[in-house]
Amino acid sequence: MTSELKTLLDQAADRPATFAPDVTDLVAAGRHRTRVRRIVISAAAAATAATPVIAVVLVGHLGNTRTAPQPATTAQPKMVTDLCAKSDDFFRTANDDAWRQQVVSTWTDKVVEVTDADGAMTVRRSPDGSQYAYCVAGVPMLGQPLGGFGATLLNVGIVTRPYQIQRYWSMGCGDDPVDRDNRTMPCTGVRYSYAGRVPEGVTRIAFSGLGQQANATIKDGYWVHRVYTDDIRTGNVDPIYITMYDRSGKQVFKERY
Amino acid sequence: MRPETEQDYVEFVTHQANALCRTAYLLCGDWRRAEDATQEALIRLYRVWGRIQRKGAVGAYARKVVVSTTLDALRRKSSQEVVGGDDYFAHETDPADPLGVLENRLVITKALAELPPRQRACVVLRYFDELSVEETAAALDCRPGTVKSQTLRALEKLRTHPALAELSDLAVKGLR
Repeated sequence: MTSELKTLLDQAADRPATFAPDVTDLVAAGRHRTRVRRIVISAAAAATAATPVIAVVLVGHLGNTRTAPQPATTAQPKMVTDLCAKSDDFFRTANDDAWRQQVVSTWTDKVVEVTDADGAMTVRRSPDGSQYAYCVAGVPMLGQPLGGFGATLLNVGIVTRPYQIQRYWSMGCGDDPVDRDNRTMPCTGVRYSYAGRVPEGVTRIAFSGLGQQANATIKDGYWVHRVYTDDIRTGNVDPIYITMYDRSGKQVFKERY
Repeated sequence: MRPETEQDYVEFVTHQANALCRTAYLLCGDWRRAEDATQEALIRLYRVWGRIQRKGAVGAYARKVVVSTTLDALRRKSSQEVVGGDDYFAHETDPADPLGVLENRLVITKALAELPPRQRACVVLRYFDELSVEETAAALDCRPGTVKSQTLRALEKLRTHPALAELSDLAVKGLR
């Protein structure tokens, strides 16, 4: 073993604060996951058991109605255009196309949404009202939906931190009317989409940066906001800050994103 | 889960969360993401806790889940989508730790950032967590031979890293 390397690694991973997640919350999250998994497995088992019965019924039905053979067609899966994720299960949901497709098609209850020329940032609520997803959608170009291009989890504790912020970024072309069918137009803009849960006591969430200042849209305990830059290459000159204020106007949170 | 089994899980989390988080930090270079990856891993661990506990390999399994969760988050999933991605290892100084600039911790963090994820994981697991080759292979779900070759390559890169050139151990102990 290289003791000096070990010492350096120890120093690098050293910090005054000890990481101590709330175990009660972890257990609650673990129970929830276990319950969901059991339900999914039960549903899959039921579907498997029912398949032979359905097949027999279908075969019997088809046997009675002879039809001319039809050319085989393959169902094309619908493209997932919205980039969605749940803050408390980010790692799985952000990369699960099937889950995102389900959210876009069935989670139609939009808690809060902000739209512009480049698309929308939406907080969606599940049909049973128990879960929330942050979704970014782009506008079509040449008939192809763009959707979101990327997502990061920012300062989001799965269970421990009060400030849950999710950021997406996608190609943007600004607020001026543009020819969306012209793929060759010079477009170096990026639209950053932010969303999160409103922390307790917070009444205003302000964004500054990229030469812009504005407040996030807040509704039913969630917030969304979008910030645009014409040229991603100049974005770092004026960095984006998110500042949160309580009812008395006191600043309770400020971070650079 | 039975109450007594759940209590074992609670005790494990209470005592091991910080150590797992430190490993995750060395793998991703960002405390926030390390904490998130650790929490995600601990939640996943809850679901299989009873089975893993019966096998008596809780620590090894927990580390395996933390490593895979952290590395998964670093991986690009498609040509268009980046989850986390290049924001990891931002090379930025923690504003709450200005003296850190003067310390060795930044040197090794930057050197680690330049290694491919698997090589970085080998170094962290072998020399920070002090796992054997076999244990590291189990954590990374690969063969011991792969761990040996990846570790050797990683150490060669670290040895030639300008900031670590004076690290006598790496040069002296036959790691060339």
